[in-house]
This record gives sequence, structure tokens and C-alpha cells, in this order.
Amino acid sequence: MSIETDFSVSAAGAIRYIGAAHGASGAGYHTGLALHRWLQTKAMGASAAGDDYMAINFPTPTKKKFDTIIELLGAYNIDDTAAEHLYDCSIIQAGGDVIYDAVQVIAAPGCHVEVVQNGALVANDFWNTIPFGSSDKGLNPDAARGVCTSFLLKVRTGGADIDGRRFIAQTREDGYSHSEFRVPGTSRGINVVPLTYLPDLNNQTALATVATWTDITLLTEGYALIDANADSTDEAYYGKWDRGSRSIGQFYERIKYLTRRGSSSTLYGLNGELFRGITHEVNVDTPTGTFNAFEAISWSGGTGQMLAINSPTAATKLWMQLLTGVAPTDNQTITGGTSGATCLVNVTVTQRDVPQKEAKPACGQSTGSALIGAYGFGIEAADLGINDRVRDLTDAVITPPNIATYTVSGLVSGDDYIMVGPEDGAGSLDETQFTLNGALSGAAVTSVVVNEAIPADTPATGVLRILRASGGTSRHPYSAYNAGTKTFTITSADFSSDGAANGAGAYIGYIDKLADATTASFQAQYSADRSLFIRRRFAGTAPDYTDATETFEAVGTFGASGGSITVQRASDA
Amino acid sequence: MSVCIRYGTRVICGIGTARSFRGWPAVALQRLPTDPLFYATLTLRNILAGSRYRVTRSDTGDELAAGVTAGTGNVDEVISGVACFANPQEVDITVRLFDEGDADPDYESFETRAFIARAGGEAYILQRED
Repeated sequence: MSIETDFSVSAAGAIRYIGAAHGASGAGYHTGLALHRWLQTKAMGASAAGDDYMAINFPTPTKKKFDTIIELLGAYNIDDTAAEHLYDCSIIQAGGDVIYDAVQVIAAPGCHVEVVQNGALVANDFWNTIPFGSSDKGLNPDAARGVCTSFLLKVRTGGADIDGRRFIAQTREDGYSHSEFRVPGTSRGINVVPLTYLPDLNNQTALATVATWTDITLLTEGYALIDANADSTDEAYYGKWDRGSRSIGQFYERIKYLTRRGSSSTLYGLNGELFRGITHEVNVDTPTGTFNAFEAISWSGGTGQMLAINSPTAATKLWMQLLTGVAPTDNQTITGGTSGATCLVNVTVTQRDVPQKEAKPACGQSTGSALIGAYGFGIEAADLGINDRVRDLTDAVITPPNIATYTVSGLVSGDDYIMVGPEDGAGSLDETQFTLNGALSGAAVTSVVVNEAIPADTPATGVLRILRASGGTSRHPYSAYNAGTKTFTITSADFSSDGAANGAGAYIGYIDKLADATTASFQAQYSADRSLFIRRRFAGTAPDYTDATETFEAVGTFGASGGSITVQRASDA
Repeated sequence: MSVCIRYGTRVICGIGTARSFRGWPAVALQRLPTDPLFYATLTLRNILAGSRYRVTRSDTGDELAAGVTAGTGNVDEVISGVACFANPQEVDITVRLFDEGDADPDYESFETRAFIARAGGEAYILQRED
């Protein structure tokens, strides 16, 4: 409809929208320049007419500084409803005490735009209305210029800027890229906000399905130490996730689910829809009290959500998401909102880019089969593969080891004994993979030291076979090993009556058990191809042993992708 | 305002200006407090033709004159018979030329003040394109 029928001007200077509602036929939207021109034309009239009290005998209503900056003079004013029907201009009124600034979003049509202002979502997102007759949401689009919506945002009221005129525009739609653009302070005129709104090909699972993946959990909320690259040195992250039974690609979709528009999840005390990740790394000193693992924090001039702190009582660093105001500065006091603990900023505050700035969700980017993690985002080591990457809190890129799996198939549960051990290069079992460093003679031996370096592809837990004085090998489960001291920690075993001599042979039984399923497997960190000796044996069932099978022996290879073999069963009856 | 003239041996008073009784000596002038002190001419110089103007008393806001300038281009608009209630009379002048409906340039509202004495007054109008 025309601006003449959409707006009225009262004798007191109230400029109000009187047209159809958003989304209805005839709903009107006008630029600020159009409002100015209409009022100025009215102001030239000889006398007021209709519902518009404006003529030569009324004060000048507006002043145009540029086509995009309109000041309402004197008592002339618009209200929030009228502002919803204006765009592409700043409206200044009440002598500058009230200001609406223009926002113009550059994104694909239909992008649902959320605005986070003063730490909260702007509830009245009228700009996402689907205009009458259109199929895409977004008021005042301009497809030719790539504009999906234009609207006014109130940034100053009662003579005070709303959070310094700062806001974040974001889009977090299911199946689409998560993107944001932060405006550190609006300018008069049009504030252009680019967002990335594209289908995310790695996020196409139905929402209802992703909703059921509740075995993906955040094990640690806060500072977490993870040895993601298996170098025996932990790295620090701001949390530790467990992907449960899901693939890394499903994990990525679940994180997007938890941080999508409309999410009811809570992450680090924040609604998932508002969760962005670390925005600042803060050096601190002079701590008092005990901080929580994560909590709301505040300082003069701002508030934030602390996501991690390297010590609750003796912190030297904390990591936070800025919520309102500006980041703290040197010597400012940071106070825990729940704990009441305090610390001082120690000079350095480092700004970190949130992943949404690059159209990635909080966890980082998915390749479909791997995750390229966001800054500080931690996943437990066992859930990472060779193609994943994580970034610790020092911003180092961590490459997980290649954990591969070797599988033996064709087994009969309860019958077959399966042995997979090192191959000696001649097609046989290498029973001297290690040699003992010291004889074993005690009645409760739990520690076995070998002379040789324990290879990196040794499973974290498994079986160690040791040659006894009697000539046979005994089977000893180990729960850990120390590569530095070349020591295996075994279940307590009695070597008092049949010991093992110094220098006696020992080897790892990568699989060393009675089959309890049709397959058996082991996982190890791949470092180089390893030749394996595989033996399957079933001597038959007493008393006749007519079902006995010939021993199956073969050589296999544990490679970068693991490996597999299917055992053969030939009757030995 | 009323004027009293001596007509022969009589004094006659009537409403009107002294001019109305030309030829007869005025012996007194009587005016109400609300009557103008005098009427004078206000000239708006350099005003764009087509502009609407309005002249009001600075002290009360009462309208003294209004109209639309004729002609083309920049003209001088002579406004005669502007009632003045003080000597000099301070007036507010508003000039507007804005029509979104045509292709002609539009101008910012121009407001100024001027003083009108018995001999007249003038104001220079400087309209800036909007």
C-alpha cells in the first residue's frame, strides 16, 4: 500500500503505522527516504487533511542528512511498530535519545536471520516474516543485490546505547550452514551483514533422527586434558565429548542439532542457540576463591560465560565467550557469578575467532568422514581417527594417530582358539619378539621388563606370552605398558615354581583367546606394516573328537587400514 | 483603530485609518491593544517560485501572512500589508518547496527570522536542495 495509507501523523507528532499486518495482503514497507519525502510534501500543504496533521503551519518534521539518515525533529516520533515497516535508513528521534539503525542482510533467499543483542535473542524477529505472495521468508528483499532482508533495529533508547550498539546476526538452520556476523557498533545508515546460508551436505539427516542420538555426550564441561595424538603428553581443551556409537559425521550433525535455532539444550550454562565457543583467552593472576569449571563471569564493562579455566584455585588462564560489553582489560577484576571467586586480568587478552564466523558450527568443519575441529573443541582420543584434526587451547593443530583394526573371521564360538602374534619373517610365530630384562621368580609378579623397545603399534591392553623354564609359554593379560621403561603391567602371576629366566623370550598375543564370536579383532595404532602370524586350532569334542579340524596357519599384515583374514576349517576327523 | 477628526466644531470618531478621513485633520487616534501598530511590507528575496511561505509573529506564533510564490526561478516576493504589533516586529518565516509527486527538485524547509519596521523589512531566502 502507499505510504499515505500506511502511516498517519497526529497533532502531537506521533507517526504511526496503520496499514496491514506483516504477512497480510497490503502490508506496507517503506524506506526512510520515502517517509521523509512524504512528510515534507505534507509539510508544504496549506492545511492538514485526514489523519495526517501536517501542513505549512506545523513544525518541520524531518531532516535528511543522507538518503539513509533521517532525523525526526522536535516531538515527531515513530514507535517500534512503525519502525518494523521502515527500512534502509537510520531514524534518529528525541534529540538523539532514540535511534533505529538499518540492517541489511546479504544471504541466499529464505535465510532465517536471528539477532543477538545485549546477550539475548531479539524475540520479535518480524523481519523473518514471509511477505504476502512470496515463498521465502525475509522482509524487503532485493534479489538483484543479494539482499535477503532489510529492517531497522533499535540500538539506542532513553539516551543510552543498547550494549554499545553491538549485535550479532546469525543463522542456524537445520541442514544449512551455521554462520554469524558480529557488528561491534552500528553506524548511522545501513549496516550490511553478510551471512552464509547454504545447504550443508554433511547435515542432511532428518532432525527427528538426530534427536535420538543421545549417546553423544559432553563428558567434561570445562578444562579437559586429552592425549589426542597419543604422544604421552596431554593437550588441553575446553571440554571432552564422547561420540558414543556414532560416526564422526553423525557427531557433527548432533552438535549442529544442539546449537540450532530452537534448541532447548544447555551447553556450559548457555542455551545451545546462543552458544558460540571461545571468543577470548584471558591471562589472569591474583586468584581468590574457587571458580567453577564453567560459569557466568563479569567485569566492569562486560559479561561473559567462562568455558574453561586451567585451575579453579590458582588460575593463570581462562577461556570465555563474550556475552555483553567489551572484553576485559589489564588489571580488571573478573568475578565468578556463581562461585564469587575473583582474579585479575594479567595483561594479555587474546581474541579467538568463533567457528561460526567461517560458517562452521561450534565443533568445526566436517568433511563427511572426518572432523576438522574448532579452536579448543575436545573429543576423547578413542573417538578420533587419522583424518580428524583437533586444535587445543594453545591453538596447535593435533593429529590423532591412526588406530586401525585387524579382524579374524570364520571362527566358531566356543570351539576355535585363535592366536594372532608377531611373525618371525619365516612364516612362523616370533616367540622372541621381546627378551626378559631380569628373571621372573616371584609368587605375585605384576611387572615384566623387557630389553627391546615396545613398538608404538602395541595395543594399550592385551596379552603377553612368556617362555617359562619348563619350556612352554604362559599367557598373561596386561593392562598397561610403559614404553619409556619397557615395562608391561600384568595380572599378578606366580613364577615361583616355574620361573622365566633372564633373557627368556616373550611376545604379544594380539589376539590370544578362545573365540567367543564368529570374529575376533584387535585395535592398535598403526606406525608401519606389521607381519602377523595367525593360528586357529580346534582339537575336537571329547570323547571321540570326530569334529576336530586341522590347524589353520597363515601370515597376514596389519597395515594402515588394519587388515583381516578369514580362517579355513578343514576336517581332521 | 479608530480616528477622531475635527469636523467643523465637532469631533467625529470612527473605525478606520486616518487615511479614510483625508483632508480632515485627525485630532486623535484610538487603537485597541490587539490592533496592529502599523502595516508594512515584507520582501522575501531569492525565494524559489512555487514555494509556500508562512509568516508568523515570533512572540505569539500568530500567522501574519501565507501564500505561494508565483513566477519562475528565484524571485522576490513582496508581501504587502503585514500587520505589525511592535516596532520593529520580529517575525518567523517558514518557506517550503517539496513535492514528492513531481520530478522537480525538492528543497529543505527554510526557516528564518526578520524584523519589519514601518519602512518595511526583508529576508533573504536560501533554499537548499534536499
